[in-house]
Order: sequence, then C-alpha cells, then structure tokens
Amino acid sequence: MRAPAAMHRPETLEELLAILREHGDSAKIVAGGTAFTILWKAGLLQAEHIVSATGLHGLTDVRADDEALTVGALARVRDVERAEATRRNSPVLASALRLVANVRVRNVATMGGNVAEADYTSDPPAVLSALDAVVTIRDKDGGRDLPLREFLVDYFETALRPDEFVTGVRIPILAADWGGTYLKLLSRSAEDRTCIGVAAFLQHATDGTCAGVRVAVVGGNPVPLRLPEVERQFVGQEPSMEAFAALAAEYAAAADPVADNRGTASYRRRVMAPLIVRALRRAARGTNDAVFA
Amino acid sequence: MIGQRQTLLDARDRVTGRIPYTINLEPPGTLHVAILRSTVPHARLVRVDASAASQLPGVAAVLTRDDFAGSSIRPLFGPVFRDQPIVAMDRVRYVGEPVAAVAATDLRAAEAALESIEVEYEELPAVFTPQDALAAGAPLLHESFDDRAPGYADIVLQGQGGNVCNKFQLRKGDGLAGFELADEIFEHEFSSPPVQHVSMEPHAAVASFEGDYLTVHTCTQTPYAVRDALAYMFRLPASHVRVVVPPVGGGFGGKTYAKVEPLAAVLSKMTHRPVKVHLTREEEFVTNRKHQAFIKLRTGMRRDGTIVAREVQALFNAGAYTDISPRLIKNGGYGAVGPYRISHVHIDSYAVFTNLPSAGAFRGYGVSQGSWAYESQMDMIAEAMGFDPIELRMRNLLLEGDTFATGETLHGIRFPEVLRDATTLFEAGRVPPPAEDDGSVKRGRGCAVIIKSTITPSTSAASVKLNSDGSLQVLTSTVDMGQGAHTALSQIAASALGVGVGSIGVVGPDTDVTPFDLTTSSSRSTAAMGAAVREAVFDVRRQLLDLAAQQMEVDVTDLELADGRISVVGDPASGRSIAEVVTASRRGTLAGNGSFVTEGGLHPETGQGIASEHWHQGAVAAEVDVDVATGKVTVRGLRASVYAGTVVNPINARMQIDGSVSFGISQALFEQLIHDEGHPANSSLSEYALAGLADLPEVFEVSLIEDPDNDEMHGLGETCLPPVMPAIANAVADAVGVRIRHLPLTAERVLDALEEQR
Ligand SMILES: Cc1cc2nc3c(=O)[nH]c(=O)nc-3n(C[C@H](O)[C@H](O)[C@H](O)COP(=O)(O)OP(=O)(O)OC[C@H]3O[C@@H](n4cnc5c(N)ncnc54)[C@H](O)[C@@H]3O)c2cc1C
Repeated sequence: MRAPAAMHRPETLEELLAILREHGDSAKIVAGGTAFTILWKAGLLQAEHIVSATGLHGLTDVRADDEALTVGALARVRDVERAEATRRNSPVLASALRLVANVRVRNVATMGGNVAEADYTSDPPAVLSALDAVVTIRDKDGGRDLPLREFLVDYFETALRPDEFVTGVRIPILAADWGGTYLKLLSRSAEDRTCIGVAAFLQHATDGTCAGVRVAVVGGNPVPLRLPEVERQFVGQEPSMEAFAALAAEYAAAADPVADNRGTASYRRRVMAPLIVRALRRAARGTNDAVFA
Repeated sequence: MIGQRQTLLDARDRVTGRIPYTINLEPPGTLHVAILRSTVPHARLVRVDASAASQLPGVAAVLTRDDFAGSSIRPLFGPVFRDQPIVAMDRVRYVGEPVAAVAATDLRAAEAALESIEVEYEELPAVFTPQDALAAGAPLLHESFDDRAPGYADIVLQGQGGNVCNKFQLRKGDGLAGFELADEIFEHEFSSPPVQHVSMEPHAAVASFEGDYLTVHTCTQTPYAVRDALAYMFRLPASHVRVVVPPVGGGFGGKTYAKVEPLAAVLSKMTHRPVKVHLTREEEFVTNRKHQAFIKLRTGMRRDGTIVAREVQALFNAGAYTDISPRLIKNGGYGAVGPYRISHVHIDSYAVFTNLPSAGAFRGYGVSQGSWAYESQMDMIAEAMGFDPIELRMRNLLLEGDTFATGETLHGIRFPEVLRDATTLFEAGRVPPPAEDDGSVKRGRGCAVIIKSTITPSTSAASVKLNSDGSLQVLTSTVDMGQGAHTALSQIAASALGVGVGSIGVVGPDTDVTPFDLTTSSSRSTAAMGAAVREAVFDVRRQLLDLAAQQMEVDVTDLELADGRISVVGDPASGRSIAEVVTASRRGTLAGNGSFVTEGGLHPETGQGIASEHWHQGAVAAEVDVDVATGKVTVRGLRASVYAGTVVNPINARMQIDGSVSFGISQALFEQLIHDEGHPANSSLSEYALAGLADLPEVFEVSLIEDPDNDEMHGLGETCLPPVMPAIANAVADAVGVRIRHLPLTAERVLDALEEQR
C-alpha cells in the first residue's frame, strides 16, 4: 500500500516555498486539484508530501497595465475568463478559456495549474504561447521569469525545479491592429479534451500586407508548436489563401504529433494544416474570439 | 393519472443525491471488497496463494478458488449456462477476470492486501474476434456446456461446439433458393464494436448472511433471477434468500442477472458480516458490455424495388462467458430482417466465445447491431438502383396483417406512418443551414426505421393493498432505475382506482414482499407491469364495490366509483368515500393481485413461431454536417418517431426517447471499447468518449404517435436507439458520398474514407 502522504496547507507564499525547499523531490503541489486528483488516483503521480496552494492569501489577481495582462497563478480559470481586464486586453484568451472543460471544472481549476500541468491537449497554452506569455516563478531565494515556450519542455514536463512555484503569468497586450482567434477541434465528444487547437494572430499593415503573424498549435506536438522563423517569412506578404496554406504546410511538416484515442499522429498532421488556414482567415477578419472547429 | 405530465416522483431526490442508492448503503460492521483481477487474457491458473494477504491488518477474508474445495457452495453461475466462476477456478479467460477478492474493514486495507496475493499463470493462446475464435485450431474457451440453468423457455440451445456458445437459425419461404427470384443481389459486411453501458451508478451489492438466511441489497434489474441464482449457489430454499433493490442509478441492460452479488454473498458467508462490493469505473468496463457484431447481409432485389430474399450471417462476440448471449443472438438474428416484407429469409446468428469480458444485455438488445447493417444497406441499395431511400423503404415496409419472418401475423402495425412522421424533419426550413464558412462543411440527410421485439414469453405480477384511509400501496418487483417506472405505475394505479397520484405509494423490489417479475428490461415494465398493476387494482376495486353494495344495501351493478367516491349511478349524493367503505368493512386493508403473462416461442430449426407479444416500431431522421477538412460529423437536426400507443406520462416518455437518442448519437460517433491483445485500452471516462449534452442536435424533435382508439401502452425505452446509428451514417453518405460500414463514425474514419474517395 502506498503510504498516505503528508498534507501541508501553507497560508503564505514564504511558508510554501520553505516547505518546497525542505521536501524537494518528494513534494507535489496541488492547486485546484482537477488534474492532480485524476493523476493521483491513477497512480501516475506520487509524493510523500502534498502541498496545497489554495490556502495562500493572494495570487488570484487579474490586472492589466499598458503593456501586459498579469494573472495570478491561483486565479480560477472561470474568474480569469470573466475578468474585465482579460476581456478588454486579451479577448481571444478570454474566449478560449470559455472553451476549457466545463464550468464546474473552470470554477476550481487555476491558471497556474493549467500551465504547470503541461498537458499537450490543453487550450490556454496555445494562446499564451502565441502571445509570448511569460511565466513568473518563485523559490525560497528569489525567482525567475521564463517565457512559456521555455517553461513547457515536453509532455507533462516543465522547466520547474522541485522547489519552485509558479506565481503567475504575464501576457503582453497586442496592439489594436492585431486580430486573432483560437480554433478548437474536438475529434470526439463535446466533453473531450482537444485534439488540435490553433491560436492565430495577424496584424494588417496599412498597405494590405501582413505586418505580423503568430501561430501556435496544441495537440499536435509535445509542447505548443510555434515557428517564429516561418512567422517572420510571412511578414510583408498578402494575407492570401495561398500564403496561409504555405505557412500551414510548414507547421504540419514540423509537428511531432502523438497518437492517442483522439486520433493517430497521421490524423493530427492531416487536419492541422486546414485548421491553421481556417484560423488565419478568422484572424485576418479580426474575429477576436475562440470557436470549435 | 394516465396521460398526465407528471414530474418523476423521485426527481428531486435523484438530482440532489438524497436517493439511498446501493453504493451509499453501509450497515454497521460492513466489510469492503477489493478484487484481484487477471492480468492475462487466457491462462491456466497454476497457483493462487493468499496466505500472506489473509494475515494483514484489517483483512477479514480472502476468497480464492481454494475456498470452494470441499465446500457445498456452487462456484459457478450464469442465467443460461452456469459457466462463470465467482473467482477463477482452473483458468482465467479475460483480462480483468476476478482471481481473488479481499474483504477488509476498509477499502484501503483490502486494496493493500491484493499486493500480497501471489498468482502464477501459465499463459494459453487467446482469441479476441469471433472470426479468429471460429478458425480451425483456435484455442477453446470452454470444454463442456452441461450446467444449464432452468427457466427461459424461449432459449433453445443449439450449435454448441468449438467456441460457438449458441446458434439461432431461421428459414422462411425457400430460404436461399429465394435469391433465384432476384434481379440484383447486394452483399455487404457491417460491424459494430463493443461498447459499455456507463451507468452513473456502478455495480454494487451489500450481502449479509444471518444463519441460513441471506439478504442482498443490490442494484440489479432482475431481483428474482438474482435470488434464484443465489439460492442455487448456496443450496438454500428460495424462501431463505431475500433480494432488495433500492433505487438504481441507471442499468441499460448491464445490471441484468447476477453480477457482483455472488461475490458479496460468499464473502459474507465466510466472515459472518455484511459485505459490500462496489466496482470502480475501471472495473465497470470489464464487467459487461454490448456485443461486438459482424453481420454479413445479402439482399435480393427485384427490379421494381421489392426485396425478395435476405440472408443474414451474424457473428456476435460473446466474450468469455455465456451470460444472456443465447437470447440476444436470437432477437438480434430475427431482428436483422428488419421491418420489411420479405418472402425468403435465411438467418444464421452465432454467439462466439472470445477472451474478452462477457457481453450481455444492452439497450437495443441485438437490434442495434442488425439495424446498423440492414438500414445502412437499404440506402446503399437505393443509391445503386436509383430509388429514393424513403420510397424504397415505403415499398417494402410491413403493413397491418402481414407476416413477419417468424411466420407470425402482425397487428397494430404503423411503420409507414412512423417513418413518414420522422422524415418531416426534412421539410424546408426546419434545420438551419451550415454556419457560413469556407465551404468545407457539407450537409446530408438520412433516415432509418426499425422493428424490435419484447421478451416473450414473460410474466409480471403485482399486488396492491388498499388502506382504510383510501390510499393504495403498489407492491412491484419492477426496478426504478431513473426511467420513472414507479411514477408510471403510480399513474396507472391511480387511474384504475380513480384517485390522485398522491394517494399511491410504491413498494419497490423486495423478493420477500413484492411478487414475481421477470425483468426490468426489454422496454416492458410500463406495458407488462402496468397491465399487472391495473389488474390488481381492478381486483381490489371489485372487492371494494362488493363491500359498498353490502353496506349500502344496493346491487353492485348499480354502483359507480369516481373521484374516490362510490355512489349509486345517477345519485352522487348517495356516495361514500373509499375510506369510509374500507373502514366500515373492518378488514383493515383490501388486497388485490394481478398478473400479465405472455406466451411464445420459436421452432429451433425454422425459427417460426411467436417471437414477440408486441412489436416496437420506431424511426429516426437525421441531418448532419460533415467537415471535409477534419472528417468531423455534427448532428444538426434529428427527429425520432415512435408508435407509442397510450402515453402514460408525456414527460417521462419524451425523456426515454431523449435518452435513447443520446445513446444512439454516442454510439454512432464516439463509443468503442478498445483492446490491445485483450488488454483494455480505454477503461476510463477520460479515454472512453461518450456523447455529452452539447452533442445533441439543436433541432431535436420527438414524436410520440398515439392511438386514441386502442387503450394499449407500448414500451418506449429502446425503440428509438437502434435507428439513430444508420440514420446518421446514411446522412453522412448523403452529405459527402462516403459509406462507413464500421461503427463508430469517428472523425478520422470519415476523413480516411474521404481521402480514399478522392
Ligand atoms: C473533465 C476535465 C476536462 C478538462 N478539459 C480541458 C479542456 O478542454 N481544456 C484545457 O485546457 N484543460 C482541460 N482540463 C484540464 C484543466 O484545465 C486542468 O486540470 C486545470 O487547469 C489544472 O488546474 P488545477 O488548479 O486544477 O491544477 P492541479 O490539478 O491542482 O495541478 C495540476 C498540476 O500542476 C501543478 N501545479 C498546480 N499549480 C501550480 C503552481 N502554482 N506552481 C507549480 N505547479 C503547480 C500540480 O503539481 C500538478 O502537477 C480538463 C480537466 C478536467 C478534469
């Protein structure tokens, strides 16, 4: 029998960080617990110490300044999606959060938990990756900021050290001439996790060409797939179907999909390109929303 | 009252979790059970050593095969053949089969003890598909079939041998020779995968032996079958076994016949304590399932669109043990003829053993597998011969007075009306067009119509007690599993007595108290038990009127009973209340009995005879969108029509169809149990996809076709499930021209087919 783990309920960040420093490898953080509980029951997660983060005071704010939207790690997904600051400054993120799971899960799931779980089928990381979000991290001695693209390392694996804790996510605000969308394909039921998710943002130049483009794909790769080089080549081009298709083809070629019950690797690769094209068309129209494919 | 919109009497308790489900029962001193399950699909059991486990703290007993040596307990059970061991005896036959079980003071201790049980397997070759199981030289699952349980007169045993569990055959007209009359012959194979019932409440039972008296609380759909199985197992008179069924959280066929009750009972006998077995979701997936089926369908057509001959070769994957397969392949066998007038029919339907968990009853009962084949093929034929699919069906549908493939004459037949009604969905403007996009979403329409039997012969009995305050108790062994059976029975009883539903109380299944009922399944309870309840109320009503006649000194024929009062016809002022009459009689209560008994049976060689006392008739029309970029199918509109006869409760009736259609959409698009060499690969609700509410179409119509001239209630629990799958596949074919013959129509399968077509 697995020995029952010791439960810790720190009330301050300092206490929590001290516990993590002390127990290092044998400790696991639980926030909303929506992912943790499933993994724990299935035996996929083991720990001698469970550190509950939800007793902390704070880290739940959703705030914006001129440059970025800042979301506390313990903010509930539901609160982030409804916050005025999110809807005004990052409407695609707000809408994409609305497509996460169901309202019961979103009422307890935290933003920190969502990124720290590093699930390849999670939706927010697509949008966050495309927006160049930065994860703020603390440990007992200080902290560091990591771009989400460096924070997410592999399937269910982050760059976090055992004594580190995510305190929030900083999401740069795009200029008003950007349009974007998030497109979520469920290959099975409406209750399922995402098969392929595409976040696309496009900035129109005054001459009708593209001033900028960002595309990030989840579900078809161990971590959100972004190809900055491919994005850069797009700048200055007409936002045509052909150009979209060419960019989409590069993504599909670069993807390293996994096979699961939602689809084979081949399926994911095949649907990725048309979904990217579709997302780019919506982004070009400036829909600034998130929809099911 | 009958016909009234009556909210389910226990709706509030169900949704607020106040219902005392079996999973919530825990008498003082209850032991909890963890089950050690086979990790290999087929093996000789060399050694099971539980000596260390039984010494662990908290452990009260560990059950292994050794406990049956020298015991009087019969270790095997099953509704047709007693071939299923409580824990594995000489071999294991599927991954997940119970090998040992621990009863301990708490679940953690029981689970912990499993790790100390040592098991040694000598692996045997295994088979997973019926085709492989029938191949020459295939490993055999069972050597003998000699322990037949009594009862179930409708089940004829034949064809056993090799891995054939049972065979059903039907020969009508000239059989295969009938194909000589055909101008064109169509032959296709269709398959449907195993799927799980996924009841909200898993299997659970609490058993408690006190001396020679066994009480079991369980969430079964068949209390009497469970009682009889346990009585046989423990060599007890049936009077010493009491099965009580609390409200059940969904059954869908998966809770028919003994499942976890024998294990709980044996452990209680060993420990002299109440023992509770409560399966996990993962265990549910290896406990029972819908039969996987492969159906070869050959249909002979005349140039004018008349079907002249049909041959059905059906292979049903029974899994490791017989369960109820012999009946299912029978109903699935003749059911595969469809609701069509066909002169020459030849059917061979087999249940085949494989090294997978046993298959059993599942909502739709073999008809889903068959209609998936014949209603898909109907559209294929229509397309090939240039007929409109609806008109081709109309030309061949059974009509009043026609004979079915079994030779029985059909009455109360409304197929053309039911199908027409469903297809009114296709009228312009009913279903909104695909959302504006890049043109990659295609719209298609499809329909399907099915015939389904109900278990015949069968018996339901009911008792009622009329109390001296005028209220009435209904004693019934019908299980309320969320379908609202007790609400419907209350309405039927209230109508028969002429009182309000508020005066009726229902006592649910308790084999010590409530009379016999065959089963709560087969869409039969409202019709069959309803008829028994009505007769029981009429019995008590007759007694009541006789008493009133004596008390009032009038002739009984001069009396009438209305609105709870008995009065002389034409003189309401003379009336007395029911309570006054019962009280004045000084009988305390008046007891009434009623029963509903049907007869039937089919000839073993020809399949001719009476298959069903009533024939369920349903049709579904569906409009779907197919995204050609992803293969994703979305049901946008659906209309389900059913010949309902008298609708007892419109709310309930609608919800039965809603449930059937959700099951159908789920099986059409998502559901399949996946195995890797016999190892379950999606035994969790994260991996096993089920339709959610958001998968139901925005235009979702249900049409209950009533018959005002005929006071007959029809079962509604299953009829609109089977047509959903072929209707959707036909709509997909209509939309994008690809024909999928294997369920489910996953996005990937559709995309693959689209690419093949390009
Ligand atoms: C039914 C269901 C459906 C779902 N559907 C979707 C969906 O459609 N789209 C989607 O994107 N997601 C979906 N999810 C996943 C859901 O978004 C995540 O489970 C949730 O966001 C995790 O947050 P949590 O607070 O519950 O994390 P927890 O479960 O508490 O933790 C998750 C992981 O993150 C770690 N962790 C948590 N917080 C921190 C922190 N601050 N610092 C460091 N590590 C931390 C934990 O140690 C654990 O490993 C679904 C989940 C469920 C149960």
